[in-house]
Amino acid sequence: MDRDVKIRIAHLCFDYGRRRVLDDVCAEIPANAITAIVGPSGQGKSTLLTCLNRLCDAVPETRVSGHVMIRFQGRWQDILAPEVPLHWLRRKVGMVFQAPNPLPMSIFKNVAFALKLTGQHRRPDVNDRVVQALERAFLWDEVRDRLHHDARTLSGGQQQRLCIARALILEPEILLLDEPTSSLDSQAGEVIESLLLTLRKRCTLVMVSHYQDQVRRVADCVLQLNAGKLIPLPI
Amino acid sequence: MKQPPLDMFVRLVSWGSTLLLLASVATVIGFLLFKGYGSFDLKLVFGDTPPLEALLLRRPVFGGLFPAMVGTLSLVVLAISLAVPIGLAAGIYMAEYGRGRIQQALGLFFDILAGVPSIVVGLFGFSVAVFLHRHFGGRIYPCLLISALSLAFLVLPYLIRTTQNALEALPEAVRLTAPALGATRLQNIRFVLLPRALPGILSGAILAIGRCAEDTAVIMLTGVVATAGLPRSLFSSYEALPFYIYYISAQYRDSAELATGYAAALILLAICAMLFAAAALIKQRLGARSHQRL
Repeated sequence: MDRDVKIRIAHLCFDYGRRRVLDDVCAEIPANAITAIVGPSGQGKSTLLTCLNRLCDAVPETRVSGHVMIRFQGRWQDILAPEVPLHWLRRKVGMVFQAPNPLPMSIFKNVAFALKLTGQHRRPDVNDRVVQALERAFLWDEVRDRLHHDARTLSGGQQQRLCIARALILEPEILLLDEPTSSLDSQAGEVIESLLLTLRKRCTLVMVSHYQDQVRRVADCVLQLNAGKLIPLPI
Repeated sequence: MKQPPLDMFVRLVSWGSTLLLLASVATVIGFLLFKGYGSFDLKLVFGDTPPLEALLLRRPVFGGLFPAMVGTLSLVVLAISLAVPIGLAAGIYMAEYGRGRIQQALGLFFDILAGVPSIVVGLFGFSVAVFLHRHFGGRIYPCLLISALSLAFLVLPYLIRTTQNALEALPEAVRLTAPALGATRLQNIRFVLLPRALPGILSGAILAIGRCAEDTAVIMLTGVVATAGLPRSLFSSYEALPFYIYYISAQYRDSAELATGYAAALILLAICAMLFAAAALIKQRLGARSHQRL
């Protein structure tokens, strides 16, 4: 079974100031599957997610201990090790937030932004990859005629798919999603759900969700957090 | 629904305060216009020199305000271009890199610096000029460069604090967008945080421009004189409008001369308005550019 595990979390503890948010969390997250993290509000679901790309490092007065092992191209690596370059890690482990956060620029430039950060400027390559990412995020048909319009003119659901496309353009091995449908209406949410199901082939998805039905519809595996402790529940 | 009395009261006071402020501004400008309008003509600016000759710097202007206008403009441009890069860099440090005690101590230091009266900054600039005069073979006197450096020093704390505040006010969602896509800290600052904080930063710069243009105490001690003609170099003395206004109001011989002081005040206001407009234009341009380029 080891071959199919993508992320192995061992004795992960997370403290915010004096408050312990995650307490000795141990879990395995399967590759090419959707794993949902569920549980009541304020129990550290989002924190657990940000430990997987170390975005938690950006918050002051926090302390992390334990191990988060991720298998990148067959090799296990402890991403909590201080020598791991954060920008490299975050290109491998993409993230989509609860509220869509397009940058104040055009649709095309939003998606190309991640490539720009890696220093890729060759126009034809960038164009191809932007189109590909938008196709994978089910957005191409809706925006092909207005790629150079301000991204903030899109609807909420479209903006969220744009953010997914922006994360996908770097071909991440893991995609983290923090309640990706909670700010959208049910119809836009359904589109995103079916999108996630197709993305499973390409990468490993870890999603925080509040909705029981959504978890039932899309998740292959569920991790339940309660008071900072994790209980794995097979569906 | 009827508004509760307290709401009504707050609204009334807010409106009243705004009106009071507008009325004071209108009164000041109206007063200046009334007093200074009579002496407003080309002769006031260019003296007996033909305007075109003066503008092309072919012939010097005597007895006109033109040298003082050029002096004030060069002073502001010089001081702002010295202060903005340093203020911006220090503000970025305070908001993005500084942590804990060092950041707090620096914050306190900048606040104290902001509270230093301009006459003290002027005295400091004067001491620097005296020091340089003694140690560089007596060739350096109070001059345009020392005035500009002192003014830059005067406005630095504003620039630092507004840059810091504008950056710190950005919401967490904006702050995390680029790092989540693999941006380094510098990339995040350059591509996302600075463009988003730009309006705030520029309003700090506008305040600083105003302060540089109107300050009299600093320049009085560091190089401004009543008659010098156009500034010849960074190391020459110069004329400036605020000093002219001060000089005329202190030593006028007749009411006509006093009226030129009012007219000079109007010109100073116009120059400030022009500089503000330029800053607003840059703000708009940079905003549009960051939108296009990124």
